[in-house]
Amino acid sequence: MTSATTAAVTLDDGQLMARTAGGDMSAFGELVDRHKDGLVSYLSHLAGGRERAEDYAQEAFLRLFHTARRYRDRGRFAPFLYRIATNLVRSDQRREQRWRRIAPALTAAPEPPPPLPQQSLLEGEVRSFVSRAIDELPLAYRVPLVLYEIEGWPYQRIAEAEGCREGTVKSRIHRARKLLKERLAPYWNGGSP
Amino acid sequence: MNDEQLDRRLDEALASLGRPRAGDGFTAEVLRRLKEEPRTGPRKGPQSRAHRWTAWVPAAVAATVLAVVGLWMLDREAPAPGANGARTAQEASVGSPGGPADPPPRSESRQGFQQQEIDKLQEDYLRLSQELAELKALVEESEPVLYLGGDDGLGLLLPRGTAPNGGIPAGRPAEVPRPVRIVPASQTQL
Repeated sequence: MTSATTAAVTLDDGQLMARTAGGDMSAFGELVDRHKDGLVSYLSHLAGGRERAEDYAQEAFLRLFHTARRYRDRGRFAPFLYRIATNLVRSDQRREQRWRRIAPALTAAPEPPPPLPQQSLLEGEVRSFVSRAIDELPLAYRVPLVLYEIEGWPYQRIAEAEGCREGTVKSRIHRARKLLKERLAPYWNGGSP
Repeated sequence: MNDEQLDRRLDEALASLGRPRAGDGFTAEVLRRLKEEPRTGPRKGPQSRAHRWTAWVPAAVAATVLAVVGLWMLDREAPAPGANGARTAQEASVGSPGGPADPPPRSESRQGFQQQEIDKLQEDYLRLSQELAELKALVEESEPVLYLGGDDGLGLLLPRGTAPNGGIPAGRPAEVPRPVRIVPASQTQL
């Protein structure tokens, strides 16, 4: 470990961003190291799949680097970074939705996803179907649910990342849980509604 | 399964999802992609002050130029006072050598044109004053006469001081009284 890297480890995120703005690549590398796992985890639940999540995360870090001079540290680095990443997913989702609207007219109808089985599931299968149920949630509900339930963020931090009020975050999480329960209850009830 | 049990099952399911980690070489890959980009330094970004200046200054300059050109065109097209054929009564009475509708001055300023009009009026005033003085002198030098009539060629004038007290006798129009002078018609006109 070089002396510059050693020094970077002792700095907080805001100080590292200031150094990044000055072109310090080792400071930026330290920022990536600190936040890559959390971001990849978040994006894998948001975008469905680790590979895709890594692509999004890399792109988010590149954009973070290019916006370093605009960043004003108010102790909200993580919400800033996660917001960049969420916007990437949101943009892609809109693009996919547009494509889904016009694709049937251009190609043969895509094969519909297999329906969720109407029977009791093994634990591994449960995880798979919970993930699918999360993927089917609207992004506005999915983001706060993943950040709160899986990443363990507090409401206030989620509100900063989403640019909304804490009350809005709470109601969206409540709504997301309700939708998930409605979706998964039949399987937990052994196939009966 | 009641709602409380569903909540518990959901919490367990969400907790079981796990948290995937970034793969080995993730940071190195990000740094490599940065180096491969043609622009390796952090961008100033669209919110920088310099960018905002360069964005609106050309637009402001263009708007100013358009405004100036527009005002200049309006000034050219607007009729100058007294130059649109509807001249004032004063101008009509003194006449104008330039005709009824001189074109408005295009290259001169409006102030210069007004000064020219004032100069013309002063010249007319001086000319009329001179004619009036000549006329007064002529009246004072001439004896008073009574114009009796005439035609295109001749006129009959009766000097006031020589008229007979009893007047000209009626019923004898062919006889011209002695004091009556016969003059060319041109001398009977003022």
